[in-house]
Amino acid sequence: MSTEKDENKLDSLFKSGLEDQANEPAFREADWEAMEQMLNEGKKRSGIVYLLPIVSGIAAMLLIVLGYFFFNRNETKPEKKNQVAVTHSTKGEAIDKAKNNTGTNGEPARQFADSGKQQTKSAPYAATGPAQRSRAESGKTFFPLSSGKVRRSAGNAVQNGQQVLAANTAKTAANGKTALGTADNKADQKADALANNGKNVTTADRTASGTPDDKTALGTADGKANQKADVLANNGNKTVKTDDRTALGTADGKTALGTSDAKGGQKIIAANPTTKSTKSAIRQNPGSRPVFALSVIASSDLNGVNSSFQQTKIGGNFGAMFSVTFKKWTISTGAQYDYKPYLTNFDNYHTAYKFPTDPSSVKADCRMLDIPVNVNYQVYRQKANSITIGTGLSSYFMLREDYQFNYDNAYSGSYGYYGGATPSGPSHYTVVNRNHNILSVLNIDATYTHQINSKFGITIQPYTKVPLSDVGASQVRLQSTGVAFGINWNINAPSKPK
Amino acid sequence: MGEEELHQLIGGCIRKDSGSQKMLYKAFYGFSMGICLRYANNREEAAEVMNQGFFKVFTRIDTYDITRPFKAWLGKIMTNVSIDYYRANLKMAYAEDLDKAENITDGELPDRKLNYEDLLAMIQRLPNAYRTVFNLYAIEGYTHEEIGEMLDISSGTSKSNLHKARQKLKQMILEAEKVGNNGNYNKGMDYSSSVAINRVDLHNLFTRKNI
Repeated sequence: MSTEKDENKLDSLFKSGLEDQANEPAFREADWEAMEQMLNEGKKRSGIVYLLPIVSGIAAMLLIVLGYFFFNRNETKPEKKNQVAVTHSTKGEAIDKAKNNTGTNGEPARQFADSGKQQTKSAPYAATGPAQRSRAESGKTFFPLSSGKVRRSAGNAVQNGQQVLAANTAKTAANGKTALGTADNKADQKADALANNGKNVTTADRTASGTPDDKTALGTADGKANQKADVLANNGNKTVKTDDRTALGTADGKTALGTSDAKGGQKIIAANPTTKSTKSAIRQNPGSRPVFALSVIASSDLNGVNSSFQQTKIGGNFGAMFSVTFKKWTISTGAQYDYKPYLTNFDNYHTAYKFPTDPSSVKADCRMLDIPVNVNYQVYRQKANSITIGTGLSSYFMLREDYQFNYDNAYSGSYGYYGGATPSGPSHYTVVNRNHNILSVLNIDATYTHQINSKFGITIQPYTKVPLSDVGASQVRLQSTGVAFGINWNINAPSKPK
Repeated sequence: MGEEELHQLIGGCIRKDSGSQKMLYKAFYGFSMGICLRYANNREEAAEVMNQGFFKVFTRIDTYDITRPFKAWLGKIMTNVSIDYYRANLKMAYAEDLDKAENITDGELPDRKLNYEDLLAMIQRLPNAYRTVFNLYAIEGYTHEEIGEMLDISSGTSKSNLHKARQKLKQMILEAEKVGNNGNYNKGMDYSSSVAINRVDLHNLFTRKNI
C-alpha cells in the first residue's frame, strides 16, 4: 500500500518537475548551427553544385584565354601573309613557317633558317640577273622541296638539337634547281664546323662575286645559311633576335656585293624580310611569348599540426591547374580537392565549447578546396627537362570538417557511466562549409618537368604547405608535406609546320 | 505562439525556408530539448538526438496533419527519435539483483519539490533501459503493453525495468536528502554509497549482457 503510494508520489514528483515549462532548457545557438549543418548536408550531396560557381569561373577564364589565343592567331596569320606578299609570295610562306615554328629547342634555329631561306632565295635572283628561267623554276620547285625538308627537319629537331636542324633547314633553304646535292654536303659540313665567322663569310663572298651564276650563288647562300644557323645554335634564346638581324644584314650585304646589277632590287627585298622576320621573331620566340598550360595533378601528403610530424596522417589531393609561363617565370592557379586527415593533441585544438572533460586527442578529417596562386622560377633547363622552384599562397575553403574526440578514459568521470553529473563530453563534431581561410597558407615547391613532346609534359613536385594562420573550425596550424604528380598540356604549344 | 503564426511557420518550413526553420526550431527548442534530455545521458547527446528529431520534422513536415496539435506531433517524434537512439541498449535485459538495494530504499520520500536540474541529473544516471521505461510510463503515460511494443520487449520486462528505475530513483532522492539537504544534489554524489551499488550494476551489465 505504502509502496504504491510511494511510487505514485515518485512518478508525479518527476513528472511535474520535468514537465514544468518554466524549466525548459534555454536555446543554444550552437545546437541550431549543428542543425543547420544537418539540413545543409541533405543538400550537400550536391557539393559539386555548390562549387559550380568557382569551377565555372575558372573554366570561363580559361575559355577566354584560349579563345583569345586562337582568335588572335587566326587573325594575325593572313595579315602577315599579305604584308609579305608585297615583296614575294614565297617569303610570305617562309615567314608563316617561322611563325609556326615556335616553342621547342630547334625552333629558333629553324626560324632562323627560314629567314636564311629567304636570303638564299633572293640571292639567286640577285646573282643571276639574266637567268630569269631559274627564277621561274625555283619558284616552282622551291615549295614542295622546302616544305618536305622542313617537315623532316622538324622531326630531327627533337632528336638532334639545333645545329643539325639548322643545317637541314639551311639545306632546304639553299635548294636551287641543280645545287641540291652539293648544298646538302656543304650544309652538313658547315653545320659540323660550327661557327667560323670570318672565313666562311669571305669565301662565300668571293664565290658569290666571282661567279654570278645560279649554282655557286646557291652554294654560297648555303654556306651563309649554315653559318648563321651555327651562330644561332651557339647562342642562347635571348640573343637569337639580334643575331638574326645581324646575320641577315650581312647576308644581304654579301649577296648584294656579288651582283651589281640586281643590287637595288635585292636590297629592297632584303630590307623587308629583315624587319619582318625580326618582328615575327619577337612574337614567336618562346622566351618572349607566354605559354599557357593546363595540368591535372594528384598528390599524396603527410599532414600534421604544429610541425609535430609524429602524429602525421596521409592525405590525398587532386585537382586541375592553369599556368602561364613567360620567360623563366610561371604563374599558376587552379583548384584542388584536398582530403586531409590528421591527429593532434587536444592542446592544439581550439574551440569555444567547454568540454566537460578535455579529450586527450582529436582526430580530424578535413575535406577542403584549395585554391593556390603560385609563382615559379626556372632554375635549370636541359633539353626537355626543367626544374623550377616556387612559392605562393593558398586559400582553403573548408567543405567538411569531422572531428573525433578521443578520451583517455572511456568513462571520463570517475563514475562516468552513471555519472550524469560528469558526462564524458561529445565524441565528435562536424562542421560543413563554414570556414574559409583566404590566402592563409604558404606554398613552397620545387617542380621537375619532363617535356614528352611539345604539347605534353609530366611533372613531379615535392611541396610543403605552411599555415600562416590557424585554419578550420578547430583553428589548428595544419601543415602538409608531400609530392604531387601531374600531366601538363601546353595549350598553345607550337604546332608542327605542314 | 499563436495558431496563425505557427501555421505560417509550418508553411515556411514546407517551402524549406531556412528562416522559418530556425524560428520553429527556436520556438520548440525548450520543449523538444526537455523531452530529449530525459532520455539522454547528457546534454550533448540530447542535442544530437533532438537535432535528428528536428531533421525528421523538417523533412517530413508536409506529412503533418494541421488539424492536430503540433506539439503532440513534435513530442512524439522526439520520443521516437530518442528511443531509436538508444534502441540498441534497450534490448539488454538487466537481470539485476535488487535485494541489496531494497534495504536502502526504506524511508519516506520528501514532500518538498526537487528542482529540475536535480531530477534530470537523477534520471540521466539511470541505465538507458530503466530510464526509457520510466520516461514512457511515468511521464508520457504509456501502458506497459504499449511500451513493450514500442521497445520490442515484453510487458513483463517493462514492468520490471520500471520497478528497478523507481527503486534507483528513490534511493537517489533519499541519498540526496541525507547528504545535501538543501545543497546541490550533485555535490555529494561522489562519495555516496549508492555509487558503490551502481558500480556493481555496471559489472552485472557487462557480464550478463548475453543472457
